[in-house]
Amino acid sequence: MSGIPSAIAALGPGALLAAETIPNEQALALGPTLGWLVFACALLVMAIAVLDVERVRAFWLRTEDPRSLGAFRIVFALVLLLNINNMWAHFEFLFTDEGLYLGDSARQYGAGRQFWGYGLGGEGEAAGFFDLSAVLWWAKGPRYSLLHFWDSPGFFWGYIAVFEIATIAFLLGFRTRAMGFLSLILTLGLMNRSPIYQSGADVVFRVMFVYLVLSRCGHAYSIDNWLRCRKLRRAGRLSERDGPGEGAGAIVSDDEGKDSEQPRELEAIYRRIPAWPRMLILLQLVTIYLWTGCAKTGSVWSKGDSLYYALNLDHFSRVPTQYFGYVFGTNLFRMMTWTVHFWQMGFGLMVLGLIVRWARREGLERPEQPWRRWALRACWLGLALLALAITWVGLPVHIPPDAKLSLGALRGLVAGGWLVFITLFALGWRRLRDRPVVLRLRGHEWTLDLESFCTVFLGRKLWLTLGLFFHLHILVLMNIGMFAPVMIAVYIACLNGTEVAVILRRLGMALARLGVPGMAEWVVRGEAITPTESLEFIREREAKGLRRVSQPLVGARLLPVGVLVASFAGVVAGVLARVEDVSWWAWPLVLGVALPTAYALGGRLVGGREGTKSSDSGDAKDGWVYAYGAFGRGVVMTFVAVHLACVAAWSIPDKDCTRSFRAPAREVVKPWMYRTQTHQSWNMFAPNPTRSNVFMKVFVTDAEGELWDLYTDANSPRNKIQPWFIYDRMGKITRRVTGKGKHYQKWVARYHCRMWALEHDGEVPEEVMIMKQWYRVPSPETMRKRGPYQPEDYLAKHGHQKEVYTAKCATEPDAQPTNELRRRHGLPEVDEATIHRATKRRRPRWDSRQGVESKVRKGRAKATKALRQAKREAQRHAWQTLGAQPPQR
Amino acid sequence: MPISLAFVRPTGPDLWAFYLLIGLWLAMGSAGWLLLRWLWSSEEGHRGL
Repeated sequence: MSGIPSAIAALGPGALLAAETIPNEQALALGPTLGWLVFACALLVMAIAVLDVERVRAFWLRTEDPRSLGAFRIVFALVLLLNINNMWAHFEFLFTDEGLYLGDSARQYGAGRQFWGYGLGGEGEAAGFFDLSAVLWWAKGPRYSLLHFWDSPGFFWGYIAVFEIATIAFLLGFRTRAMGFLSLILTLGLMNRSPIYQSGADVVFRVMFVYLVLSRCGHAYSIDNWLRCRKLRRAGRLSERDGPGEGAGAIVSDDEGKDSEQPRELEAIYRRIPAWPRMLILLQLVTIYLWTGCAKTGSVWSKGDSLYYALNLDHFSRVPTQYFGYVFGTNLFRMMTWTVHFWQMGFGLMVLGLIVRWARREGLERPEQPWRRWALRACWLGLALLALAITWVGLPVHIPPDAKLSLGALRGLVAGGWLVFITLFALGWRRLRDRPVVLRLRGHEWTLDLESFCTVFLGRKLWLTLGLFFHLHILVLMNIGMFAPVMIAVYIACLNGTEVAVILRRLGMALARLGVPGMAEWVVRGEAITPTESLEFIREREAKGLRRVSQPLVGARLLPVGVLVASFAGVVAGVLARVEDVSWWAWPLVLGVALPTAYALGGRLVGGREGTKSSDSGDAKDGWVYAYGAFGRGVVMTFVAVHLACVAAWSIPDKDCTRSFRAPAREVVKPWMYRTQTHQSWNMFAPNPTRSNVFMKVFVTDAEGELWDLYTDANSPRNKIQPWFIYDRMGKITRRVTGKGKHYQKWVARYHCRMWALEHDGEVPEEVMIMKQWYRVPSPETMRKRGPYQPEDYLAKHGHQKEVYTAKCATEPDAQPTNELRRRHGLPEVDEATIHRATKRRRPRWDSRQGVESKVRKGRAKATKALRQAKREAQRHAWQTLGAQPPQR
Repeated sequence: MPISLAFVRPTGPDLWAFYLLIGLWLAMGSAGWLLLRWLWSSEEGHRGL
């Protein structure tokens, strides 16, 4: 016995009990092999990007109708306002110094590392940043929030008022870009001050908001565009629906209609905007579903019982659902659970279908050179075979011990099935593209070509409709907050601008028929929608030299392939250096990332907005309209590539067999993910949904020894109502405090000590006790046998409870109101010696930070070395003793 | 497990919640049908990305 097993053995059986899960050594040993296979996949993706560079560029840098993101902006801002304002009752608890944390403690325990150089004030330590380097240290983030500096209730209410105004302005599209950024910054400030309340929905809001403010979503359905059109109309420079260009833009001469020496531009109503932010939103949506689908590996999901258990969680109970579980738990709900799981895993096919159809519509099918086409095919085939190799290698640690088939048989089945599938896929693709299948049945004739295949099987009809059904079920039956509404809102971004316009016109017609005033005449008459800015108009404008700096560009010079290859080479060198633990690994990585932008910047300075032409650069596809000039394209493509790579690395599934490369990869991309505020986790109801209802009770023993129940839980009889419309964050807080966030228990207890004192003439109570209460939800079979139950009765009969934390309010740190709080509440001040604070002075630590940093670095290097040695030993040990293994997580 | 069709009858909140679920399915069926019809139709404006 050696390495990790010997270490565990040395610590004794207690260590095994203490460990959350026992790592599967066989799975751990597979890590390096799987890591190299994944790396090979990444190399092939880079090769595809180089070989198919024209389509990649055209996809990311194209322009599109702004109405899709305009509509998304409005709905998103609306649900964001609901999401933040449904915390109204808990605002002061969450975000002020009269809440969970006192101001100093919020800095120290919520963002301690970031505020390392920030003093508390008082004896020997000034309040605020110690010096400029402390400010720079803070600026590294990631928990940026004004509420870390000012968090009195007065300031907070001003803060929230500005947030409301900025978000409403963003919704209405007034100063859209500025208001969007302001609202985002203030939203992030709330999230960074108080992570305790956050759930998956908040992560959706955070990440999608970042993409949304990067877009020009104010170009449609906004006050900004209305003001612009009004101004242009007055100046006679707007292309009207009933005039030249019909709203899509036109070049006219002053003598009405004929071209002349001095053409005049009539601007379009809906100008084209860069499409890449919407594409990021779409891919993010796929990431959410794919991640959460892949994470659902538990037995409850495979048995089909997840919907049953989710509906029986009392914190999420919008309506009584026990009867549903009783009738449908063992039949229909299982079908629905499996359908949802299948749909989440397959949602990416919808985006694939959208991209394929777009490329065909735009005539961007294949590169012209035969060698490129063959190389591309080889890369796609390589990816398919690598996927098989990853499955082959990982299979031994993924089959249950009681599997009926042997490993060899399973491998044979998987490999054979996969090879047959990819062969059929390739042949079928070619067949549908070149020779569509015609089906005749009872005189009807159907043609199945690539377009209709993508429309039906990879189309939005199937995947969005399933998604809509899933989220509507959640919305109506479960009080789970704004997750379902925000996900449905994101579906708007799956429609293009003209589709959104058609839907809104239909809605307008229906409303007009119902007598609702204010509809435009053309909407009432059901005329064609206002067209998007026409590409012909853009090309003509450019040909006549009327284009302005911020407008789309036709066919500018492209980045040479050599620069792209050099950039990828730098990134690969950086990754390999990181694997080998070379100290300078970041340099080639940074150089590789910076190279395209630097080249584009040089081109911009020398050759103007269109860039310079080098020997191996080509012109863009004939007449293709790009959203930016040469430099803009370099910056945007670099941003997109870096972000996609970082999200991909961040999304590596958390398993024993990925541990060896997942952790280092996430460490590398972590600064990007946190500083762009796009860090994410989508392990919702995964690997299994929780099967217990957990509640939290808070009891106060006052100074006279009398016991009080504060009824803090969202589920307490005092707070619970049915049907339950408003989402109460206290449910999430309860589950966090009594579950994985145990460190919050003391802070909750201390908060209640302080609040009791402030509300009882300053008298600090004797103690605050937090009690956890829970019961296991009966299985679907038991429910079917026994009939539906009343949650309160079931809790009383089958529930358990235990004390999880008790704070002695007189002596516990931060359990007494400070004199500042007492003054604020008109209470007499007390001797400072009776107030115990949880914060520690930081000046001494800050002054010796060099020494500390050096120690940390040395310690980390030593730990890394030891861990690597242990891993090697564990790997050897695993291969020597391939016997009974704990199951793979 | 043998399939049994003998169910406890819903009463009180269980009853209206049950009607809500059936109403939801009817509404979703109708909405789904409208969505499919619209996505199959060939109105103006291009489809897809």
